[in-house]
Amino acid sequence: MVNLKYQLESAFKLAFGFNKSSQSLVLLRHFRLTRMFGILFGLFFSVLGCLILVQMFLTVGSSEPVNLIFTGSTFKLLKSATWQAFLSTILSLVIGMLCARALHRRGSYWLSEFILSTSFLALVVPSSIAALGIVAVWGRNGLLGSLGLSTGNLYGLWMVVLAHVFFNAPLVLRVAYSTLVSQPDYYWKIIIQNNLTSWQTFKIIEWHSFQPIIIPLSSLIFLLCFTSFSIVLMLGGGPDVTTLEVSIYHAVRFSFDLPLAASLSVLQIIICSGLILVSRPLNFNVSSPKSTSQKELKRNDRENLTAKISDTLFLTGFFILIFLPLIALLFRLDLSSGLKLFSQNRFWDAFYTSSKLALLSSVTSVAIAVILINSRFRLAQLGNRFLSQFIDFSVSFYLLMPAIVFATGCFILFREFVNLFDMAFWLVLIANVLFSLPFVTRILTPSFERILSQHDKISLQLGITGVRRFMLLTLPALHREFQLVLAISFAFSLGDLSVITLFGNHNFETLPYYLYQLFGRYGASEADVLGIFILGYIFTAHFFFGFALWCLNKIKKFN
Amino acid sequence: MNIIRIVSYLIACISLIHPVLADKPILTVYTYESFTSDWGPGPAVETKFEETCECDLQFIGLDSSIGILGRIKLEGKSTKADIVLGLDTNLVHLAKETGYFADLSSNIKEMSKNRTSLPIDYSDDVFMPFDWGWFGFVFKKDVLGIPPSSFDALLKMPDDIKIVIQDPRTSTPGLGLLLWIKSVYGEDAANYWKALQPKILTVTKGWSEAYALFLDGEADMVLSYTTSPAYHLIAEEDNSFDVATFSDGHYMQIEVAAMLKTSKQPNLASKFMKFIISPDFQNIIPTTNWMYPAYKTELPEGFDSLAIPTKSHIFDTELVASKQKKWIDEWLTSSTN
Repeated sequence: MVNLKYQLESAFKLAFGFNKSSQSLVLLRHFRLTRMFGILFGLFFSVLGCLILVQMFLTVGSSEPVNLIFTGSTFKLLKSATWQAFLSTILSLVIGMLCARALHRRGSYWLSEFILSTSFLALVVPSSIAALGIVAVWGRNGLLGSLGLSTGNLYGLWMVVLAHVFFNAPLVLRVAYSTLVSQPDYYWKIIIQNNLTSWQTFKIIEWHSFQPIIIPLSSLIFLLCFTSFSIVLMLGGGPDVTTLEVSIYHAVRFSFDLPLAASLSVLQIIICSGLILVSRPLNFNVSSPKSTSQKELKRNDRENLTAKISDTLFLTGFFILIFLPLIALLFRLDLSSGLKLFSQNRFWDAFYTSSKLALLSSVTSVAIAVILINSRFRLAQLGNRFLSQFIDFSVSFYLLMPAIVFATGCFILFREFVNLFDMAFWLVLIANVLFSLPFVTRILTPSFERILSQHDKISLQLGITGVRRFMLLTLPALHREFQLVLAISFAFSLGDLSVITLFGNHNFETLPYYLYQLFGRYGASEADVLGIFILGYIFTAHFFFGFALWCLNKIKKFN
Repeated sequence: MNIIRIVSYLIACISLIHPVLADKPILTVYTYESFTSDWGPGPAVETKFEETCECDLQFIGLDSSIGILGRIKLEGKSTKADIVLGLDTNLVHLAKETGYFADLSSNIKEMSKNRTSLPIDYSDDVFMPFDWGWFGFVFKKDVLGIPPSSFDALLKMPDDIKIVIQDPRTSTPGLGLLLWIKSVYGEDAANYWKALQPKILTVTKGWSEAYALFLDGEADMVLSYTTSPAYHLIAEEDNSFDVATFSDGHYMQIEVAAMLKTSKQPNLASKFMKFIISPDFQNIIPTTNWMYPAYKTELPEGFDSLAIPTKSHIFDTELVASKQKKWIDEWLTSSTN
């Protein structure tokens, strides 16, 4: 500890020089526990992660640990995953940007409000439900097929790509639209004054404003599609369409080839971290786009007939792509047999398990995120770049580590001591917490750090510190953000179909796992009902967290 | 390693909070998902066995048959399973290599030998058959007019005729098709797989997903068993389903069960193995698992109308064990482009 303190002190001196040494002493004296906890959590996370990877390599499997990666099948696998991710990325980008442009050109407040707020829907829909909806629209007997429009055979690659576009095009739309509205007003005035054509507008302003987001956005989408698991598992259909994550699942679950699974995980970690380092894909804002100008903007190419037609086409296309899967689920809902779902004990067991899991994991991961953000912030204040980045790393590590590998590694690490199948609940809980942490911290960090530095003076003066400070100052200021991250991690847990595929069975299942089981059954009406139920549950939870936080604030005011 | 020990003790303490309510001994059986479903043999077998055993029979349904073996390997010696039910003879050698399975007593082997109704001779020191069937492509008579009569005829069908099959890496029917094509085409199997690609709608992980796609009308034919039409005939009184009989012959599947060495209830496990041989268990199989019983019993009405292949194929289990990886690689290469 002495050593660490010395390190911190010298780091601070380096960063701030001597004039601020009084502040440094204050900082060093305070928040000692805060920093400690964060570092401990960071240590715990990274040690656990490394242990798991090492353990996987040490486990003897059917194949030799050497030359596992450089085989023809790995090359094919990479080719297949890359091609799929490439198609998904390009399509999502093109569709998202064209629709953002159409939306901006229409300039209608209500239309954009509607499209933007509902496009958020696609960001929280669990992938298993999306898969269900995609088949309901694009399958041979799907909605389009029953309307007489032959969709051909889309099974395999195109189903997966469609599902990925379903998730990512709305993301592109949001980001692209917000960059368009954040362009200065005079740009558009120049356009109007010079009466430029659509094409010129696109070339001069729109393309120019899209440019900085293209690389980070496309690499993020590529990353998500490249590591996609449940979509590919449910819609991939065989060896032709696969990802590293699915192959790892196969290696673990069916051929019990743990060294292969470990090598593939390392390969995935290398590829993904390389991509992240090169392109910094998370450097943009996903929150609600706000226009910088107060007045409603009227673009001169708005009344153009071709523009009108193409905008309508694009926005309708977007609607079909994003909303039709969800509508199709409702449309084909067969309540007479679907409602049998609610008379099954299995459903209620899964409901109970999932609720417990989701509630515990959302509260735990947000609590840990608060500790980590606090600690990181204090360390950064002291100028300790190494430790603050270490905390960042220990969390982001789980963004790259395949969940299946995590579960298997845990299993092998602990199987000498306990039967983890008996503790599947806790394992799934830990996995849910670890895997939602990167998202929670990322969303929470900017506003949290702003509030921390705003409140520092007043809290030190009034002596409101620790948990009291959090309850009295931080929570009320950030209760919207907290509602959002609680709801997001709740939704994450309710839709998570990763670790549970390894440990789930008849006696222990969550709602998404049960959905996955029903999905492969004849008479999918129960699956449809369950899918819609889970969606409804996620939205209810969002409001529930809002209400709970509101109550918490009220109670404090009375005290 | 101390931290790990402490953490695991902590987890163990937490788990102690969960009360274990067990006054009767528990017999745990790992099997595949469809065996335990409401319409599968599971519930009836459980009631029947619990009538006499003074125990609690618990089925754990895993997502696919090959998944059972994976789970046993993963759990190793700490497994809770007393019995594994639902591997097939193709996997027997691989399963025995793990060393987790116990030898059958001579008593049980004798009983199994005396009562067998398998069309071929089969005996093993560890695994005991419980049912069997032939793989076959099931179709609906009113959708597909004339079914293909051989693998070659299947290739010559128009390209909009789609079949759905299972992944040989995850499901025993999928592996069965791989071996079936191998035994018909030998060295040419890879070429056949290549030529078959346009006909394949999708490759599913397990049998139930594939059958569901077929029933939903997404595919014209599905890889299943020659006994599948009996389900539609008996349970649904629908005679529009049939199996395409191939003149190349059909591959046989014998599903087997075994006890684990680590079982804490060896006597109870033996009792269950004997129960499998008895008519009480075997009578349940045809109309719930929709397979042929492996031991002498009466076949229900409707089974007599099923097509009987003229020729059967089955590989030696050692051969499958030594070639499986190579053949699966061959299938992978010829079904990806």
